[in-house]
Formats: sequence, C-alpha cells, structure tokens
Amino acid sequence: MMREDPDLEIELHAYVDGDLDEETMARVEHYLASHADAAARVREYLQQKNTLRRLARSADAVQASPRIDELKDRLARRLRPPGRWGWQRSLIVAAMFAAGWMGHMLLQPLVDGPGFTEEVLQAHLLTTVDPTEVLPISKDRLTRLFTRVGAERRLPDLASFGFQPIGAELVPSDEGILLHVPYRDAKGTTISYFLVHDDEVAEVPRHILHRDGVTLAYWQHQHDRYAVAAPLTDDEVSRIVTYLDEYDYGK
Amino acid sequence: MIDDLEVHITSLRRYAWVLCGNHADADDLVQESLLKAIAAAHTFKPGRNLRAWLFSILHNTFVSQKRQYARRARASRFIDTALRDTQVPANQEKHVEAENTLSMLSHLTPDQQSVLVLIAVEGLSYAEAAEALDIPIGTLMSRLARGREELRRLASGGKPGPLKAVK
Repeated sequence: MMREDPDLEIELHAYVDGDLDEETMARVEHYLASHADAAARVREYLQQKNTLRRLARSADAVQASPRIDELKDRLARRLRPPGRWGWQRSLIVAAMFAAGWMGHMLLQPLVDGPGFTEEVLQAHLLTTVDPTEVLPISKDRLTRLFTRVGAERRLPDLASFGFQPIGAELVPSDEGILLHVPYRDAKGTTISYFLVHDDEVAEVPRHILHRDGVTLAYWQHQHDRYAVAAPLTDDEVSRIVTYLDEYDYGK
Repeated sequence: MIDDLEVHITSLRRYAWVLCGNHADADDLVQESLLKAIAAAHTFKPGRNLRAWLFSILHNTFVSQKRQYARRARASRFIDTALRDTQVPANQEKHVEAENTLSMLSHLTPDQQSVLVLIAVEGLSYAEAAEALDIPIGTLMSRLARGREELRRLASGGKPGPLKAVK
C-alpha cells in the first residue's frame, strides 16, 4: 500500500505557490517528473489558482464605492503620523520650557487613546499656554458652533465647580470637527470641554488617560463623543464628567 | 506604507467579493472592517505589516458573521443560477465559469476559503497569510491543502488519491 506523506503534500502546495527554496524545488520537480499522478494533481492546483486569480481580478470584482473611498481616506488620516500640529507643538513646547515645564514630554504621542484624543490634548494645552487662541463667546456664536458639530444645545454650566467659559473654537480632527470650550476658575486653572459628532451610533464608557499633568476623559453617547481635559485629579475630573453626563442640555 | 492603502483596500474588496459572492455583502464587509480599522488605528504599530493587519480585521469580521454571510451568499448564487436561462450575460462563458468557481468555493469552510483566496488571489506569502489569520504556518498549510483538495474533488467529481512519498 502506498504511504501518504504530509511533508510531500505541503511541499507540493508550496511548489504551486512559489514558496520553496531552489534545492527543495529541484527535488520536487525530480519527483514530479517520474510521478504522473502527482504532476497531474499539481497541474490542477495551478489551474485552480489561475481560475481564482482571474475571477477575482475580473472587472466585476470591484466596483466604485464612494463610501469605501471615504472610509479609506479616514483610515489614511488616522494611520498617518501626526504632523498637522507641528507648529502648535513648537509653540507649546517653547512656552512650557519658558514656564519651566517638561516640554519635551509633549512630543510623546498619547498612544493609549483613540486618535482624536491627541487633538483634544493639543487644543487644551494650546489654550492653556495662549488663551487668545480662542475667541470670546456670544450666544449667537455658540449656537452657530454647536450647529457646526451637529448639536443644538446650550453650553454646560460649570459654575458650581467655580469654572466660567472663556471662549470657544472649532478644532479640526481626523474624526470630524471638534467644538472646544475652555473654562477657567479664579485660580487660573483651565478645563477644556470638547464635543464631536460621530457618524456611527455608539456607547463608549468613560475612559481616563494621563499625560504630563493633564487628565483627559472621553466617552460617547449615541452620536455625541465628549472629552474633558484638565490639570486635575481623576476624582475631580470624574465628578465633572458625571455632572456633564447628567446635565440637561436642552435649549 | 500608507501610500499603499488604496492597493490594499482593492485587495480587501476582491477578497471580500470572493468570500461573499456578491457585491452588496462584500461592500458591507469591507465597510465594517474599515470602520473597525479606523477605531483601532491607534493600536497599529509602525513597522507592522499593514496589509496583513487589514486582512486580519476583515477575516475576523467575516468569521464573526460567517453564517449570515454564507446564507446570503447561497441565496444570491441560487437566484443567479435560477435566472441564468432567462438572462444573456455579455460574456456567457466567463460568467458561468465565475459562478461555478464561486459556487465550489462556497462549499469549503470559511477558514479554507480565506487561506485559498489570500494565497491564490492576493499572493500573500505563507508567513504573511498566517499573520493575517493569526494562525501558525502549519495550520495554514494544512487548511490550504485541504481546501485545494476539496476544490479539486468538487471540480472533478471524483475522490483524489493519496500522494506518494518523494524520499
């Protein structure tokens, strides 16, 4: 009775796929030259492979899809190393050094968070260093900014924590336009509130990240993705996040 | 690396089309996989094989819903076959060949389909395909062999005989 050889089986397939070294290839060919049944089988494997390849590469296989093109662009932006914030980073680092901070730490990416948390952190730090970056707010302007991020609501009132809004701005991010509202208390501490509209509905529980003295919390309800950044403890930020979670945003 | 994204996504779409057997499901599968890739982009480490990473996401998405996709692919192929006599495709011979090939492929397990398509169609190396599917190379080769043999059996209508030893 003829013996089945698993190694031979593997080598024949690797031969078909060009995955053998020269020596093994020569040995397999030597075998095939004297074993017509195995050679016929390899020929069928090759034909099978060509048929599959031809089928998948036919014009029918891939049709235009604007949605996939859009997702491809989003993914490319997310995978691209950060560069847009280069000049802002330079400004922040220079200001931090001037203030005696460990500016170099800012050059480290916030690797544990989703992409938009990097933009959130940079926008918060920039506001901390240079508050003139954000324009003063008016009711009309706020309404307009909220509309730009797809939300009709009023600004959260953080007066009970001692914070007053000092401005508002729109920040570009890979996941859409972020609404950024910085608040400041009497001691000069700045806390940043962010809102971005997500095309996809999702429920993301609260996550907390840290870098260089900044605590960053992010979470999502339905289409609204939120973030808060502040130089506060986890407990202090969590209390504010809980308050925002329960806040009545009705106009 | 990111410059090759367009090429990789075209490959993903071909792969999805062969697995699903129709454009609607293939596009759904690719879109869902890309959304997952976007959400997980921060976990992608520079230097990792982007193509293998994307195929891995698509494969896992497909496997997690394979029953649903398999049922829809079967229905799609059944309808195509049932209507074949009432339609005159532009290239009848190629159309029938494509249908037959997809039909035979659908008889394989999803794991065998994935290995065959990644290697035969997309030309991934064994190591690259094993990374994409998160399996050892030995398992990959075994699935490849079984998948090819099953496809050959289906194409010929007979049972393949055992192979003999070289040494």
